[in-house]
Amino acid sequence: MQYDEEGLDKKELLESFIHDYGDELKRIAYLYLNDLSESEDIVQEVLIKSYHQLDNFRHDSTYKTWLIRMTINQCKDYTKRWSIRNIFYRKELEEVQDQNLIENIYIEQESSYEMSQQLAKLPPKYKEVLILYYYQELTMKEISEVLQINHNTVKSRLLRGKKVLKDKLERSDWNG
Amino acid sequence: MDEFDRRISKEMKRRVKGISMTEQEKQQVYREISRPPVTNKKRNIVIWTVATAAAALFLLLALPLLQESKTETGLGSPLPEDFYEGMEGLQLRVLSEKELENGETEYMIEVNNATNRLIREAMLYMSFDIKLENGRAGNQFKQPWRLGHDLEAGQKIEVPMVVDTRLFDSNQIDRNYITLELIGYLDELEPRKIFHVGQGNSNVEGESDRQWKKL
Repeated sequence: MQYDEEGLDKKELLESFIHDYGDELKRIAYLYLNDLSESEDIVQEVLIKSYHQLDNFRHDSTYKTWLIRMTINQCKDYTKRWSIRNIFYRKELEEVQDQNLIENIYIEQESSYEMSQQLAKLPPKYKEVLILYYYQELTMKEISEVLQINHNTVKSRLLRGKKVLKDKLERSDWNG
Repeated sequence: MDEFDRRISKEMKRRVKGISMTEQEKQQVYREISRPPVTNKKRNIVIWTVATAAAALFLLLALPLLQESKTETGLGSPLPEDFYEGMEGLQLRVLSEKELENGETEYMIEVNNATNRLIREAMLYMSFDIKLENGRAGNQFKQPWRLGHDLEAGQKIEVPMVVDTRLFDSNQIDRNYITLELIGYLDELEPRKIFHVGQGNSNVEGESDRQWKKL
């Protein structure tokens, strides 16, 4: 069965998702959660879910928009979860990843570390808009499509979120 | 974008630089989608096994309870239709009201068992009705009095009930309306033989034939 105009079947489409968007989705999840281990899980779950839900995809948005939406939603679900793991193991995981993962070579710079710490603490409704605007460099219209919210809501959340983040960074002596 | 925007954008990108899906993660995704789905048949077997086990456990636990309830004949069953037959002969009446020297008030209550039933272990309760804007309501605060002995068929007794009426707020409580209740056993001391009767007494002229004397 073919799933898109290029005649790719389901598995080939998944391969293209992984190849074209896998890294971006993982980075979005990382910015949202500020937890590398969790962002790995999130992106895998999103890709597996996308494979199983391809039959229901209505082509009313691009695959990229659809995948980013799923990633944001998956991150939101994760933050809502109240698990034993969050209580007991989270700190330990963070320590392990800080020591061992190659990616952390790139994130040792204090300024971006402080920024992402403060970003992760923002309410989800601001965080998601800020990530899509600053990192993905999406327009407000594109953000409203991804998040399926009104254009004006995006605008007000962006302004409000920016102000909250700015205040937090100023209070923390953020210097870049 | 202003300076702050540009800086945040730059730092976000710097923050995630080098983060990418590892080969291991990609393989994990492929493994997951290649895993054969759990068939309906297998799922049904599991569901039926769990359901059967739950039913068996329920029966095991419920059976002793069912047997127990069988042995307790009649307990919890509705009262027989003729249980209160002839009980209209039981009269509860305020005879008089007298203010005592210490400020309390003594009410003389008459309990007239003009029935052919034996009343056992009875408690008498007296309460003043609560005033409402458009009438009155029963009062859950009641003065109890244990009769202390059985009341034979046809027997009439007088019970003095002393109440400190100064405790009551006359705006809330109407001392002209007294409700008397009697709760006890009829004929035998068995849970299913418990009865409860109540009668209102009014001291308002023309409203009731149950006016009492103020001594």
